[in-house]
Amino acid sequence: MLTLIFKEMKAIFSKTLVIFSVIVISSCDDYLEPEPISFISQEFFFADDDDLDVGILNIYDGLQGDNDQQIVDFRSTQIEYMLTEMRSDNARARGGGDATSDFQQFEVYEVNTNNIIVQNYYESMYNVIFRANLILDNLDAASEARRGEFEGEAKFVRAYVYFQLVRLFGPVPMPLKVISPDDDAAIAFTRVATDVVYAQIIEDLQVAVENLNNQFKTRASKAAAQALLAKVYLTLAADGQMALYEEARLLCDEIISSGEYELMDDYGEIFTIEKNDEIIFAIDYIENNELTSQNFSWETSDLGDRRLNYTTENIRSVWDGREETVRDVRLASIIDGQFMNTKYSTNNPTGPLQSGNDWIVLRYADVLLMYVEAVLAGGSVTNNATAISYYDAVRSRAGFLLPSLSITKAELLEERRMELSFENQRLFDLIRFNEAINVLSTHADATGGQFQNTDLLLPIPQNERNLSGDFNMPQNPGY
Amino acid sequence: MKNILPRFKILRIAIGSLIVLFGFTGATPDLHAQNQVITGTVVSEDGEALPGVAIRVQNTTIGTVTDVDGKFSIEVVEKDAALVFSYVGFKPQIILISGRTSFNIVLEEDITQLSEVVVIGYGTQKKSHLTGAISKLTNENLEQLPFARVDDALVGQVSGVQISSTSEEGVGSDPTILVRGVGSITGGSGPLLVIDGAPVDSEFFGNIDMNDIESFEILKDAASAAIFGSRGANGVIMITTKEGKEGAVKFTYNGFAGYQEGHKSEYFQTSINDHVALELANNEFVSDATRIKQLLGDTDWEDIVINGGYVTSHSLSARGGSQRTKYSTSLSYLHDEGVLLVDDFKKYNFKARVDTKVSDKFSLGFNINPSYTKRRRYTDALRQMVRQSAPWLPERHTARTLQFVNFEDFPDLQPGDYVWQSHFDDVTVQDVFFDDNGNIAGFNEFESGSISNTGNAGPLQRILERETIDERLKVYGNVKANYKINDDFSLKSNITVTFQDLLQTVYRGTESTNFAGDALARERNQSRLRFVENLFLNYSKDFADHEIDAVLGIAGEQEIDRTTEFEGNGFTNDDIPRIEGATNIFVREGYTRERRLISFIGRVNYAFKDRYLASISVRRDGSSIFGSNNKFGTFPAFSVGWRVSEEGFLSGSSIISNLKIRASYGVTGNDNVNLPIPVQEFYPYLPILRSEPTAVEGGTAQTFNPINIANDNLRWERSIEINPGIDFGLFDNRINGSIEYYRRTSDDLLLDVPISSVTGFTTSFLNIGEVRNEGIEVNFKTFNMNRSNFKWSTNFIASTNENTLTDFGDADGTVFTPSDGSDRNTEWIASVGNPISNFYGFVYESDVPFEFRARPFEIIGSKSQDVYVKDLNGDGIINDDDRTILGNAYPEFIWSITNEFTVGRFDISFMFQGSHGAETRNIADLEGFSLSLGANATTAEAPRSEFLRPRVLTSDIIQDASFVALRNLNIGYTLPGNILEQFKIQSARVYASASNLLYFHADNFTGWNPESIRQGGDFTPITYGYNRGGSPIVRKVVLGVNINF
Repeated sequence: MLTLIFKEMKAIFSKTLVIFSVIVISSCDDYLEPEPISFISQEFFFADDDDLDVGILNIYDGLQGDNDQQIVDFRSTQIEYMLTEMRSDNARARGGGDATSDFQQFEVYEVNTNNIIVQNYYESMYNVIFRANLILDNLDAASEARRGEFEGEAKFVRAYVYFQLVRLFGPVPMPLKVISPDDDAAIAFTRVATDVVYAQIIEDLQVAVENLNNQFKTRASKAAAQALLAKVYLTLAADGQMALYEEARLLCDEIISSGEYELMDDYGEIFTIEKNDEIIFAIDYIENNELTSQNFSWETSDLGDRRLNYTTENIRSVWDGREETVRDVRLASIIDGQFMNTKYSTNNPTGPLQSGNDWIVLRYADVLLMYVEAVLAGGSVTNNATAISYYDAVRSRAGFLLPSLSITKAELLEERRMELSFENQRLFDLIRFNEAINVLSTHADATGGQFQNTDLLLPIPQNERNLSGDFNMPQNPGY
Repeated sequence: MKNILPRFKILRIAIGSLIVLFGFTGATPDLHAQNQVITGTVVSEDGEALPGVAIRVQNTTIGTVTDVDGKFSIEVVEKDAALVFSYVGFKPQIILISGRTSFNIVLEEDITQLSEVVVIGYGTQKKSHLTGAISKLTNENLEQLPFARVDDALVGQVSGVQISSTSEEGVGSDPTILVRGVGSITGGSGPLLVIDGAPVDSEFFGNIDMNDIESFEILKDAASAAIFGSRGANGVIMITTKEGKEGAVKFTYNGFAGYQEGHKSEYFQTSINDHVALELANNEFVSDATRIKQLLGDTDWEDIVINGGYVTSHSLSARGGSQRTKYSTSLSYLHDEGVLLVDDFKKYNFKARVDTKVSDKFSLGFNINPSYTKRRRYTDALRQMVRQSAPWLPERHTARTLQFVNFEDFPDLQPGDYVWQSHFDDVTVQDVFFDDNGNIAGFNEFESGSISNTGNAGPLQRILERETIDERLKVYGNVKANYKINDDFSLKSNITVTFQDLLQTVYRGTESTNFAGDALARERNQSRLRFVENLFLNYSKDFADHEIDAVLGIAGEQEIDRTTEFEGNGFTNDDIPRIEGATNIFVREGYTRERRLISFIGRVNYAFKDRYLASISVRRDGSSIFGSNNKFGTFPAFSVGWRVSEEGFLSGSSIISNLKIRASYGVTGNDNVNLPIPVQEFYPYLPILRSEPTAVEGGTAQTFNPINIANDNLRWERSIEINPGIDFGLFDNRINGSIEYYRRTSDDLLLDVPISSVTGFTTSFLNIGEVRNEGIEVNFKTFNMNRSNFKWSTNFIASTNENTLTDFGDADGTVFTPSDGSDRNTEWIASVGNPISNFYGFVYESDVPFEFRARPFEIIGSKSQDVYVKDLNGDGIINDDDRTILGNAYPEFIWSITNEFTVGRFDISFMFQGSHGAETRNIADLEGFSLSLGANATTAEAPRSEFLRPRVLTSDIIQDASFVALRNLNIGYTLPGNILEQFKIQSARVYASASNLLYFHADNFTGWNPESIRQGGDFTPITYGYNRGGSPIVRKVVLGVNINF
């Protein structure tokens, strides 16, 4: 028995010799490149339409952001309200403004250059751009039949992200391909003028309009690209390119006359019934899964750690003055004398940290009101019948049944505020209507904030500037 | 620590066996009948029988070894032959037979051990021929000491090696081992562990039984470690296990049992009386809340949580064998209750080793060593205990404490329930007072108001209702084969398989926090399978004045890691406290990863006239970690030595008995990568796409998520070390020692550095920077007395190390803010000219006066949350420019001194160990009761508030981490042989041993363990020295017995 074992061992011994020789003789490179099992390498991935189908979803995954209670992973859209709504006259933290808290600086306009929310959003958005550029760099893998579709989707999201960035930060770096940290430092640290960024946004959105249909609601669609482009045009028109009002009107008209979208009868159901007929583009979340859910519904409620996006006294007094009942989103939200907004109250009450409420980016009511804005074309009043009919459609759902005779700019701005409160529109509306400085200074005076005109733009994250070395990336004025 | 008596016993047995195995057994059967038989015994000066002594007929290959009783029998042809008796640790003796047939030989101990053989990488070398910095620690009688882990046995034994218990998890944790400081910036700063020639994961330190260890060899300089190439960059600890020996089976039993307790911090020992005194001093009255606290009484939470525990260990080994086949097997069991409330550690270990000579030329060895450990960790951190407790908070509710409970808010409380501070909020208490006769004299009514300073669940339930259990199965298996081609050449092969499996189950029960809904279970299963194969051709030749030893070899390694993790919640009770009981699984993660290494190795050791020494080696490693252009790295080493004492001019010296001057130069590499995503660590050169679900159109779909920027240019991190040294022996080697200097420069450090996020990512993994470690190591051993009934020796070791970041590219001056999951964002800076990691922050000036604290009487012993800091640049404002380097966690000087006495049958030893110059960022006590408890907030009226900064960000929490400890004290008594013989016991020793009986730390240190350092996660070598509580220093007293039979 023992001798048998020994013979066996001797055999093993000599086999070892053979194995070694084989290793030495055969190419070491293969031996030293074990094939990964738990992931795939991007180098070999994008080969055909199927790969792009999977890859393209990743762009939306980036927009959805990570559900993380800390501000460590890419939070993306989930923290956008802090940079937009919290800087408007709509929202406040339950704890009030506090210059020393990264979460409570926004409402008092004392945002630090190293604010982690600003930094995280900046990082998240460029991560989404990376994902979009990755698809665009690999379009050669697509079949001719589907190439346009992939390109349209990637460009829609890229345009959306640049639109957010340029409105929040002003001139920003603008990579249009996947860039390397070593070779493309100039791209990473050069702030491109806003008109160049806008030109790119328009170009990308036109590609999207041409190549997409209206199949999806939480992926890019033709109508979404049209609506977004209309908003881009309105923004530029308000800045002096008056001819773009008509372009915006035409785009809104195309969406409206397509007949594919309509207002929900019940205002509340816009937010509780997902992907309803009013939704043009939303960011999708699925509850009860850490990797697909969001926690802004939790963080903006009294369940959250920080209890943000509560209603200001200002917006509450407007609701009260207008006798808004349908769109008053503080109702049934009084806890300890404080008023949350309930628009995105969690759809997952047993696990609010993993909420599934979709985030609405573009909806039909917004398009109707944009149509009015385009018709108004920077003027102070309009009595255009089509515009009034769209305006009244939105108002009548809110319980205001008297037909309007005309629409003033101020009325439109307030209507948008009521209709779209806590949907991250208010700050941009104020800027577009050229009312931001006026309204926000008054608001800041009332709440103890320190508003300066330069507060309309956020600071470039200090971390980026520290890394910029010789490029010496400039900061926005006032920071 | 050691007694002189059995000093060389273990080594001599093994070497004896080796000699038997390799040298002589094959030759013995060839003898003729007419030969004369010589018999006899070999004993030491103490009269102790010496087994395994090699006996050779001079100028022949005929030989034998002594048996267990020191007896031998050998046949010789020639009547005037001479017998050579040799034995490691003893001076060799040559006896002329001169016709006699019986001899009783007394071998004289050679205290210099110059003939000692040292295990070096892939071979052995005479200690006298070493040219690198290799420390050898022979297991003379370390196994007779109560070490729960083998690495504990190394503490204070080797200069330049720093071993500290840094963990926060309590008993059974792996210590941190540093050889000559921190060279690498990424995770892998620990030395390589090599067991019987096979590199294994450092976790295997935990499953070796001290009784199985023959010796440790620590390769400290790069020249010695370079033979392990990429694996040796942070030094190498080699363990040689015991081989069986020829003869009847011999059993050894070692056992001990004892009690241990944890070091408590006076800083936390507060009392209700302190509340009263503080209030009387400042307010001249005692508040209602404090009166209620008085009624609740004093509870010492440190006593409850640091509750001490027993430790028990049994180990039984059997060794023996025939001329051809030898075996060594052992079984051991350890149960250590730790010193914290719930921590507990059990270890079962089994080892078997068989070595056999198949033929004269071919020998085989098998080694298998499975072990199973089960550990319940202390889940919560010690600081949490302090944070949730207060001296007035009772341990559990009793009929008495329930009198003071707010039943409106907590209607269901019963005696025996856990206590929360907030149970006592907003209650009105009527306290009876009595007259001198004991009759009720009246009632006082107190309002507690908001008596609590935390709304969290009580400390006891946070500890008892959470459990984290680590079950580990580790198996080490090894097969080796030697083939002797001829007298000069031999071929050796070694195949080692290690497997470890960790099953970690975490359960946070329904009562572990305020909300039953927080209950969750997690299960993590992690396995690692590693193969190591090597094949070596050895050449060894002595001729005339030349001795040459050469090896040429090839080695391969494969490692496969697999991990799965699940986390679930939805528990409504604690009936099934495992993942199976969860109704919702919300984390499903896992990965498989594989790395490979191939190496080509060559080395020549050369000695001329036994005094001019040189060694040259080169290793070429190919690693799967790097991109195709940079997979291979070459690691050369060169060293020389001169044994001056062998020269004629020193031969007659009565002072200098041994003197050697040596110097070495070596290069080692590092391919250990530390990245936040484990799977990326093995493929940092690949752009990784990970599968993730994403929400799309109302459902979930698979997508692939890019997680990194690939760096195909990634290359080996490299260390270059020079190491001159001197070894000496004075006065007939009564004083031995060595002094050496080393300077190790590591460059191309592998680091995840921050990059512009416009790339889509915030970090990229690069080679960057250079770090230098330099220091001096000294080592003295003196034999103060060496009489047969009284021996005394002293061992002193000391080392200095200075760590300097000499280059950090664009990242110079980077401030790192590791996250520990809370908002205490303390900072570290990496700045050229300073150590790799430095505490960074503001300089403390003074506290906020008492009156400006929000609720100063609420938490006794606490400090203000904010402090005034210094305006360093004098510009009248405090901003980021007023931050500076506040210290570092690297000791400048570590030392130990060990004294050993043998007086008759008694042996006594003790070791003092010290560490000086390190600082620690001790956040534990502050967090314990000064932070985030609004009571310590500064009120709005505080003057100069623009000069206030949170205390955590200042120098005030940087404390001196120096210590001096009486690491161990041992007293043993060896029982007289005549008593034992009746019980068939060969020898027996009983002992008492104590560790950390004395432990002195700096006055300003307020925690439980100055050596504790948080590691892992954001805490890397670059953010080093964060002390968030840690497990307390353990003071232990045990009684033990060693029996051989």
